[in-house]
Amino acid sequence: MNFDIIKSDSESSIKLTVDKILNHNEKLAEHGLILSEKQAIEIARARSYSLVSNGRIDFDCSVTEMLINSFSDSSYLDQNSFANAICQFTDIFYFFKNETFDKIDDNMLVNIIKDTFENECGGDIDFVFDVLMEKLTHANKKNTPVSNGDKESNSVKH
Amino acid sequence: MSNIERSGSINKAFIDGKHYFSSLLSEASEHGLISDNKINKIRAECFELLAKKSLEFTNGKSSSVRTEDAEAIMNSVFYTIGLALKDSPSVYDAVDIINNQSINSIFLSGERKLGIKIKTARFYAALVANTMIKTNNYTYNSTLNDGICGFFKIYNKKFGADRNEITADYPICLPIENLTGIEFVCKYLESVFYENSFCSLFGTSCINAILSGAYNDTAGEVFNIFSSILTACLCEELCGGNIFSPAPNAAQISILSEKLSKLGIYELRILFSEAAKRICKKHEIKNSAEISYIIKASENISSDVSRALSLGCIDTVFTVSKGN
Repeated sequence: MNFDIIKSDSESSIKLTVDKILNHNEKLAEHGLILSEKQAIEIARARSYSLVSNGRIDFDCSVTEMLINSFSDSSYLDQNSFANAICQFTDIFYFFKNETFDKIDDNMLVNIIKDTFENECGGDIDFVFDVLMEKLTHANKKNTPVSNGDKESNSVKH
Repeated sequence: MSNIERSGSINKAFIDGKHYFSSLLSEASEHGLISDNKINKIRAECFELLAKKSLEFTNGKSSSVRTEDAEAIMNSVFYTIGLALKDSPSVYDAVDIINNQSINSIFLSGERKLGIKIKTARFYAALVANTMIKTNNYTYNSTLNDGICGFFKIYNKKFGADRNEITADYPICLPIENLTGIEFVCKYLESVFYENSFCSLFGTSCINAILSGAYNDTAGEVFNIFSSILTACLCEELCGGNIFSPAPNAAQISILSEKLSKLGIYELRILFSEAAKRICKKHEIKNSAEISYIIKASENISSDVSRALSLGCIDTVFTVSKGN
């Protein structure tokens, strides 16, 4: 018997994530957005794929929920691009979680991604990755944590 | 136990002491002692516990962790659960606990056991420190002085309870198998204490003379000191010599080898264990666990003697003391 409890891509996990995502529709409606069940499934599957490809395990879907909440008021996203953008930001989030050695907490990293997307990349998602990579390289050279401008960074200490 | 019929006996040989909980689950499940539904419930409870511990690991600032960190935390959690279960009178009682208690409550019980084990290990470490042999052997001194202190500084009972954070380079006479984490360290220190206690019955010059006879470089070579001293003592006992200041000479070893070469492996084992019992009695060793350790070590030495006799190299086991 293989007693492996670390399985992030199980169907029950996907369903749980989808339910949580759909709960945000009421708030999203305030910004003229809505996520269909199909889009919610896409986001949940993208989250699951991203976790596997980045070698991480997430015990709840709070990151996805944070991304949905944070980007719901973006001036660059609309009904057509929102779901796909959340999928891409999810992958960027977990990638940089690893690259920053978990030193930036979830909330802060979401804020950094949002700030970079809105204020430095003019809403170009493909550019976000490059800018964050550059920021990270710069921070590593100076041995300082990656931050979003003047806002104080909040590090996780193990 | 709940409504499950026992359908077979658990083979203890398949239960891994290093992975007690998962191997017990596997065996119990195979024999129908734990239902599939219960296994799924345990899986869910373990996942919940892992999530809680991972959140503690990130100081509540991240809901995700790297897979390797999650695996390490899970191994630590399973190890702690295993500690609670190992205390059961039998594996069947351990299975009953799994069937009747929540994973969280078993884990909490394991955490208490872990705390006690750490205290016990510290106790043995203090005993070892008080019985250190005066020797120039580097591995002995570095492991028992620096290695042990280092272990208590870096042992992480919350997220790495299963890890042996120790460089136990100094080999003990009876190697420890099937244990890891604090259980390994506890057993290791207990064994070293028995070995040190035995060696402390003899003077430093006596010990150094025996070791110098057995090894070219007593400072640099990696070997077990107790084993050499006990072998010399057994040699003296079997020759009717002085077991209070053992210093085997070439003539004694020659006569003994001649005598032992006529015996089979089983007879040698009996002869050596009886000799060990007499040595313990004459030295007035009272601790029954220490006596058992010495007897078991003597039986191992008898196997070495048997092998050496068949290969014609008894001088690798019985060595002439430089005190002669």
